[in-house]
Amino acid sequence: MSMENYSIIAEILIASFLSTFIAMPIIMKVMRRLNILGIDVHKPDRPDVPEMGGIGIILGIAVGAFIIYAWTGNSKYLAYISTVSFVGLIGLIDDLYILKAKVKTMLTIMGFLPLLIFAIQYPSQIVLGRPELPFIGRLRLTIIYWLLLPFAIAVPANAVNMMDTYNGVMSGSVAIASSSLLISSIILGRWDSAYMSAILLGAISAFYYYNRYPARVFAGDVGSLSVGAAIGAISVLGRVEIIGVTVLMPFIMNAFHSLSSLGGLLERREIKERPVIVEGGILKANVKKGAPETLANLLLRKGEATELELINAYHLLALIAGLLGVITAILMRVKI
Amino acid sequence: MRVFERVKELALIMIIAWISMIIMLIIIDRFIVPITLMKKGYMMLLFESLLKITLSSIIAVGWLYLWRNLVKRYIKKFGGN
Repeated sequence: MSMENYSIIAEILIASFLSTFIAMPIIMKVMRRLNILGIDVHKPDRPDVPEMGGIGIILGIAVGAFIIYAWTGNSKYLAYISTVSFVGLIGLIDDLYILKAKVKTMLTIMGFLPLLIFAIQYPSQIVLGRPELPFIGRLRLTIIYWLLLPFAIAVPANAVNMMDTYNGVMSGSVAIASSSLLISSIILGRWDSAYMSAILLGAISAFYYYNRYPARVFAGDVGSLSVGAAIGAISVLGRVEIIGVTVLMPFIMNAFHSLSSLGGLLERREIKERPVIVEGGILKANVKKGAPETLANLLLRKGEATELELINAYHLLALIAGLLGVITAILMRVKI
Repeated sequence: MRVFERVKELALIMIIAWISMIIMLIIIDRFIVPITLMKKGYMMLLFESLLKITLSSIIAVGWLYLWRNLVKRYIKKFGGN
């Protein structure tokens, strides 16, 4: 059974990787033709880069999810792709029409509805509730769990969206996070969450190839929101909630400290002070009052850096969080 | 500056936040969830649930405060507003 599981993981990982990898050049060409471009503000020559490349990530996830659904018949994978597509649609609307920050957040809160609908429809296949913790096993959180469920998709979606600021930061960090989720799921023998993590890892790795420094495509909100929603969905459906929170810690840290320094939800276009000052390709922290204390702002307070040095720092933090995720999984096997 | 040099303090803050999150959840599960009031009835059941949610929220806010405070100290140390 175990060897069969590993071969399924490899197959869906390759399928989602290839789907995104092949689709990306076409999407980039279409976006350039439709003039859907973003400016890479951290480069001295400020080049135009095709936006909304996240559509390719959703495509890769969809291919992987439908393959595994066809093989297993488990509705969990339909719930997974429904959640990702639903939140991706919100991102698509935001990319095209620019939603207010509060409206976007409210809409992403509804991202848990596909999970809930599938859980009600297929109670034998999808079981929600009672997250597992290291040392003590399953928590007895009944009321609190259901109160927090609406945020299980919205928080990761928006946290990942807020960290999509530098070339390859979001895609590279999510690739590390999904690798950690995959390893953790294998350690725990949770094959359903391992499959979902492998699908995400395949799609995001292919996207990273095009999005890495210097970026040839941006994910757009359609990409960052859907990828965050995918991690949330894996955590809830695969019942690896604590590992999901752990691997997302750099993203949560970025969102929490920038929001608390700003005093609330603001769309990036509504923020007066930028967190980082760019001077001839060198990045410096903006220490003025009112500048959001993002992770980039915090990292640059130790000294100026090039974009690539900053990206590597982000990835190192993601790697440490990923290791903590694997340690969490190992500790979940220890009962006291 | 080496990458590790740049991230080490923030990585430490993240590790502290991770450990304290696990401790917080264990405290909620072991000490707050088992709280039961002597009197029974719908109103008491509602009060019991509200009490558990309030206590859990206080602990969660305390955890966030600790995390925010650590970052504020970091900012103070490495140049801030």
